[in-house]
Parts: sequence; structure tokens; C-alpha cells
Amino acid sequence: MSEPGDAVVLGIGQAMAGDDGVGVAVARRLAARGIAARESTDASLLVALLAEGRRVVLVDAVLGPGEPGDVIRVRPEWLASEATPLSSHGLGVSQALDLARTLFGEPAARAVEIVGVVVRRPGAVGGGLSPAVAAAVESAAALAASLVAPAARPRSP
Amino acid sequence: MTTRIIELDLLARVEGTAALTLVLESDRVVEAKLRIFEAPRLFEALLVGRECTEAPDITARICGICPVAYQMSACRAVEDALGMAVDGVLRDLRRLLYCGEWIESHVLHMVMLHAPDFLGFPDAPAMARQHPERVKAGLRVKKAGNSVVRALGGREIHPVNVKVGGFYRAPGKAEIAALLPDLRAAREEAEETLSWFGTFDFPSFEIDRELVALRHPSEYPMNEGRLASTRGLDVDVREFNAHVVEEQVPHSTALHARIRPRGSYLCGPLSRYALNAERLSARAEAAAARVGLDPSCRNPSRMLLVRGVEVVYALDEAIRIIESYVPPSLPSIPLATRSGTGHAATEAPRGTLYHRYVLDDAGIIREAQITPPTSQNQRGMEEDLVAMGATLAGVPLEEARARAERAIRNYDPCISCSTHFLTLAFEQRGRR
Repeated sequence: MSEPGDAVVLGIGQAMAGDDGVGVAVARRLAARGIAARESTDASLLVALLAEGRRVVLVDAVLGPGEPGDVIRVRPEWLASEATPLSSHGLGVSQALDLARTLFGEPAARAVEIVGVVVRRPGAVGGGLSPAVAAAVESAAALAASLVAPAARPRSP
Repeated sequence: MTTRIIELDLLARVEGTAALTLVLESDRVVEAKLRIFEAPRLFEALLVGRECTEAPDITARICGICPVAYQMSACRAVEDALGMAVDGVLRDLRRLLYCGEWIESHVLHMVMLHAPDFLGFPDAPAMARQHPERVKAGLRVKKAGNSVVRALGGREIHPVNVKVGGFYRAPGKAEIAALLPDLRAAREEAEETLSWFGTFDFPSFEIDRELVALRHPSEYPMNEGRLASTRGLDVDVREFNAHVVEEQVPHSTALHARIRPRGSYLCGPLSRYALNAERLSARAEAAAARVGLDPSCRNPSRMLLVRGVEVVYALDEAIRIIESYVPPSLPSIPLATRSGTGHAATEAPRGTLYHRYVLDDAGIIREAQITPPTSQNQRGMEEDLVAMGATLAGVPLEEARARAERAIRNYDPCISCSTHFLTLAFEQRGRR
């Protein structure tokens, strides 16, 4: 059974939307190695995990600077604020963190480390990652694994 | 006459695949085009050539919020083709799993997205600052739904324990009874949450549209029933394509559905409730009465209340099923492949989800059709926006956008392939 404080990797993405699935690919790779990892297509699970007092290493595709396949540590304050989505399919990480901060306090919101893998905006729908992003799964997994290890303390980059 | 076109990029994260265009002439909206990317069509092609037993797991990938619905429709359509009937306790377990999905999906929408619209908050975090206990209560109810899906499906996202013929593994009595305390507490909190929603002011806008849902002789519909409507439709789901026409429209890759010969229709919570209110449990009926809801309701914004009633019902039903649960001797019934065509419709949280498969004698899928609730409702959503025209025409763009978004949020459209990448607000280069 998991305990409050136990770290878990949360891969966010849609495996059927090309490179958007990279977070899920990382989570599955780590789960296969016996590391606690969950996956979700939206960020509502992040709120639930923080509510349980879990420490979360979130892995997601990132639109931003750099080249596709770059693996970066992302500070929560770098995230663009999000409009309220049209449907429950679109709850975003930024909103989920804001909600966790409001409901459970700053320590809960700070119990998140974010690993980003830079992607180009997916233009086509379909399974499978582009070669550059697929090649980054292992390094993202290694970074996420190092952050869930007991020695790693919650901290921002 | 002045013509004004409002382009609302409603979903910046799925640029080009989900947006709304409103064309106004003077104070009238003359055209509304809502483009929502629709994933199921892609999956129809992916399924061809696959074993029929793979359909539940493949189609579950269509949606991260309602995978159970896709699994249930897929299982039942394949079973229909193979001449199988899953009854007794296995049928009960499927209904229990569906209860879990209704709870988690509805609560996410009600508390995180819909309720803030009625209270003037821009989003859930803002609402949580004023009403933290309400939001925490909602999260606890959602967690109870998640726990049902996890117990039966193996995990809460994309469950892996469902198969044609039943389940890979049936839970033990003690394992499933352990869910009861949280479910009972959640039922109380769901009732309180609904009563809170009942204090909101609802816009008076009503629709005059055919409402379509499954109807079952004795149950509030989830996994089975006849396809029924408020305008006299009452047919076996195998006749779905004889009554529902899907057609291409120029502005969208998604097919739009209409009832032959009448036109647009609505499926989802409002329709289920209108056609099945008398099948609710006494406790859910009482909850509906407390917030002044009755089956004549045609106000899309009051779907907030209908979802709230359905959550109370799903919790009640989950508790009932668990209390009488006796584990099955086998977790699934055996299957024998044969050629045939199978149909099924089940009630996803957002409405009727129809699947049809043509199988060859080796059990390989040769044709697949998936008609999700959102494509059935898309035409009606556009009509709502046209009908709202007078209220959108004279207002600033931002206000028009907010009102249009609220109108669409009533339906909680399934934007299943919306992508979820993080967008950074400023440039910050990192290193590997």
C-alpha cells in the first residue's frame, strides 16, 4: 500500500495523439521497472494524489523553447495560465496545481516535480512518438526515476 | 445590415481542431460552426483486421474520462455478434463498474468546470478559495467513484480487467465490501452537493429538441435498453442506423447525427432523466425533488442538477450491488467465434454510445462503427448557439466568448483526443 509522502510518477498525455503521449510512455517504462507510476489523460489525478499527501513527479510533453526531444525540469511558475476548459477532458496541470495550492496549501503544491519533454505541436493524430521524442523517453525516465528515489527531496530546480 | 464574424479559438491546446465560428447579422446569429475533433473515426479504421476480443481494450483508449463506456459498448456489441449473453452477477459487476465511471466523470465536470459558471468564478481554483469545503467534498465523491473503477478495472484510467464475456478476474466479497464505507459517505456528500447546486440561479433558456436515450423496463439505463425518445422512438438498438443518420458537414471532420426524418436530437443526462426518471432509486428521486427537478426539464444549464441526481443514483446503485454481491464461480463466460454482425448501445456519462462490428468466421473485425454521444449532440450544440444569438450579438467579444463557452460546457463534450502538452509562459531553455 502506498503511504502519504510516497513518491509516484504521473505521466500525462494522450497515447493516441503522437508526441503528446510521451508522458504516458515514460510512466509505462518506469512501471515496468517496478517504480510507482500512474498515467492520465488529464490532470485531475494530480489533485487526487496531492490530496493524499503524495509526492508527485509529473512527466508531460512541453511546448516551449528547445528542440523536440530536449528533456527539461520545469518550474510550476513557468506554466502558462489556462482558461477553464470546455469539457472535463481538458483539466490542465496549471489549474490542477492552483487547485491543490488553494485546497491543501503551498506544501502540497510544492510536492510536485515536473519533467518536460519538448515536442512540436502534434499535427496528426495517431499512436507512436516521433524519432526525436522516442529517443528522449529513456533520459526522461532516468530523470524521473532519480526524482522519485528516497534520497531526492522535494525541491524546485 | 452588418455582418460580424466571431471566431472563438475555444481550445487553444488543440489549435485548428476545436473552435467555434459564429456569424452574426445585425443582432442575429445566423450560423454557428463548432468544430470538435472526433477520435472514434480513427479507431474504426484501427479496429479492422483485429481480433474481436481486442475491441474493448483498443476502444478504451479513445477516451481517458469514459473508457468504461467504450469497453462496455464494445463488449456487448461483440457478444451480440457471437450470440453471448452475460447475465447474473457478471452483469451486476459491469453495472457497478459503470456506476464508478458515472460518478468520477460527472463529479469532475460538475465541481471542476460547471459549478464555477453559475457563481461567476473564472475557474475551479477561484471557486475553491471561496468554497473550499464544497470542492473537497466533490473530490472525495470522485475518489469513491475512482475506487470502484480501480477495484473492478484494475486501475482508474483505462481499466484492464474487462473482457468479452466478463472480466479477467472477479473481486472477492471482502475486497469489494471494503468500498462501502467511502461510498456511503460519498452518497451523503453527493446529496449535500446537489442541494448546494439547487441554490444556484439558472438561465431560463430551454430547448425544444427530441431527447434520445436508452430505456430499460426496470432499471435506470446504463448497459442496456431500447433506443427511445421523447417523440415516440422506441426501437431495438440493432435498428440504430435505420433511425440515426450520420452525415458529413463541410466545416468539420466529425460526422453530425440526426434522427431520421426529424433532425437534431440530444442524448445525455437530460435525455436519460426525461425518459427514465421513474426508474431512479427512491433516494435519487427524493434528491431530484429537493432541487425542483422533474422530467419535463428542457433547460441545458440544469444538466448540472441532473448529473448531481445521477451521481446520487450511481452511488445508491453501487451500494446496492455490493451489498448483495456473491462472487461468481467463473469471472467470464466462454466464447466461441463465429461470423456475424453485433450491435450495442450503452449510456456513457455524456450519452448514448453505439458500437457495431462485423466479424468474420475467425472472429476478425471486418467493419467497425462507433457513434459517440458528442457527435450526436454537436448539431444541437450549434443550434443552441444560434438560438442564443440575440444575447451574443451586442456584447463585447470576451463576454460573447464566455457565454458561448458556458453554453457548450453544459454538454461536457467529449474532446477525447485533445492533447495535453504543457505550454510555457516564457522562454527558459533547459538541458538534457
